[in-house]
Amino acid sequence: MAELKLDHVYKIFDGDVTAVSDFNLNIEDEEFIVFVGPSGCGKSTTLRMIAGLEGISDGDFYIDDKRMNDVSPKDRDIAMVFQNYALYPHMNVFDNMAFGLKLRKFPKEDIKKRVEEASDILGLRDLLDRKPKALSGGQRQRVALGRAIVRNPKVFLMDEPLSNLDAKLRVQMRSEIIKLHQQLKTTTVYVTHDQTEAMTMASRIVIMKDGVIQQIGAPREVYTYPENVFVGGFIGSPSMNFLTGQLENDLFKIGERSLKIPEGKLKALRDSGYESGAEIILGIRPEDLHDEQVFLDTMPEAKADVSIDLAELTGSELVLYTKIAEQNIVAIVNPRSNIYQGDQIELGFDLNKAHFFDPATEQRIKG
Amino acid sequence: MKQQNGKNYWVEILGIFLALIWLSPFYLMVVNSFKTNRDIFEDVLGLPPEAVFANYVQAFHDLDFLNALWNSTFITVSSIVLIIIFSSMAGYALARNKSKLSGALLLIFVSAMLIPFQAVMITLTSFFSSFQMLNQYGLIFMYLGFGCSLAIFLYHGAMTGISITLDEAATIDGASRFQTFWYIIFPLLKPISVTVAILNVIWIWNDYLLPSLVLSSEEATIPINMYYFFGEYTRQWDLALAGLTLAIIPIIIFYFFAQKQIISGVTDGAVK
Repeated sequence: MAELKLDHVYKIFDGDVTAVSDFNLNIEDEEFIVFVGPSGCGKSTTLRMIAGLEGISDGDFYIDDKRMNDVSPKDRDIAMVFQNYALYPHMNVFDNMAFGLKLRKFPKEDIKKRVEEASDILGLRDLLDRKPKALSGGQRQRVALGRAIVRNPKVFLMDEPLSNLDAKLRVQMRSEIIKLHQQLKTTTVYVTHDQTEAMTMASRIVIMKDGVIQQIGAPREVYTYPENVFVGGFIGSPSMNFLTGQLENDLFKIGERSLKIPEGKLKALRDSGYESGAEIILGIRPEDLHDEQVFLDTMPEAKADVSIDLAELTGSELVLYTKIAEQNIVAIVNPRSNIYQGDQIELGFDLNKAHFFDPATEQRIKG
Repeated sequence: MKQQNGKNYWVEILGIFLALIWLSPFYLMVVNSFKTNRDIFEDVLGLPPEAVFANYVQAFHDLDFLNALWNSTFITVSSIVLIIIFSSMAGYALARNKSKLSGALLLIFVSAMLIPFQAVMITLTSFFSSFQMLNQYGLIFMYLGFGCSLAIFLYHGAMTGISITLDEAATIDGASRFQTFWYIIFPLLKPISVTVAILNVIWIWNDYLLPSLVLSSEEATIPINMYYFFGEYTRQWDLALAGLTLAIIPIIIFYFFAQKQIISGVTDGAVK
């Protein structure tokens, strides 16, 4: 069990490529932290700095108040699960899991007990004699997890551990990892580029872009209150709609159409110094767009006529693709709505749940 | 389909024919080693009228076989072990530490393959002589030098196929650099180690020129003693062939085991 602290951490490669910039994060004991972001955002590099596989160019990293910058990986009491499993191909499952314990000179009986306990947790009991090549992808990933848990480390580090699995297995393993964390309560840092994984697994999400933290928060928090356009667009699928328009009195104007801004939002805009004529970005989630008559009747000043470019029925929802003033919009509506490609419909905007962003800084206008 | 079968049939016949050509010297050597000199000249292709084991006893004695076998085995095994250990370590280090220096070092090792032994033969022996190293140990050292270029090249190539995450996983598991190499990487290089061993065994076991320049008569290897043997018994083919048969037995035993190792080595190395 451990607390981690990253204090103004930087990673600079070859003297001029900044991979991670001013990274500050306190990870509480038993937390499940997920680093998420697009490729090259620095999430894996940060994880590798925590593991000790990469040096820290500047700043400090602590585990339980002990500075770890110059401590070798084996002395950090961490375990890591890799994307490609990194199982030792010439060793069977037992030896793969026991390797770290053997190096640490654990007594044979203790090693056997720990490996058997871990294999029971992960359902690997019958596979202990098998070599990795004789295992399926899911079983290999379980062995990789087993190798991590036998040592009972302070921290688990997981670098995109589910990326190599097919979609169905990924969902299954995701819930297994969550259950494992609930059972063991070991502080975990998990890296992924999949926002669904981040949303479903994390106690807190760290969203990164170009080596810089964009937002840290609980899944619901980052989904509901994205700090900037990037976070709003990255978290959620389909992603948040962004419409650039103008503030005119209490209206948000997009081309010919106007949407009435609720009082609270308008006050926030005014308080932040946005006056009539100012250009702003409206961010609204697809599920906050409505086609139900009840909504349209309740909010008659926050609706727009649109022509449906594409209607996709996924089963549980109907995804509508349309445009307003040449700006793309995706809406998720009730699958029982009879809307088809080419239809003209009225779409209501639930602006109470929408956010406004500054077009220059792309930061959310909070007021 | 019929044409295809016909084609295979001819390929099979050709294969059998080639195999017979390859095997014929062995047949002649083994069969004639059990004949008297007179029987050999009367019917060189036929089976011996009665097996003469005395040839082997005589050849074994004249060849000082046990001593020569020990010398050959000691020199070959020591050289191979050293080549495999040092070359695999060097290949690992050069592949994992990517820098201009490691690139240059690899180039130097690879370039060394191009230098023929005969070109450095005299200077090498005189250089070793100045260090009192013209003995078995000096010879093993020379073989290490000559053998490691190709071996490092092969190990370096194989290393590129071994994911660096295995090193990282071992590091996280608590392994030192050497432990990572020894417990994780070296076993995965087994197919290359077997290849390196086979390539070098043939060359070192059969080498005549270098040992003849370096070794004293007490340290003589099998090929050197075979040379003296041929000199003495040029006309006594019965003894010479028995000696030759004795000389190849160890290498056949080696290949018998190596073949099993190659197969298990290749399958063990399969990742994913």
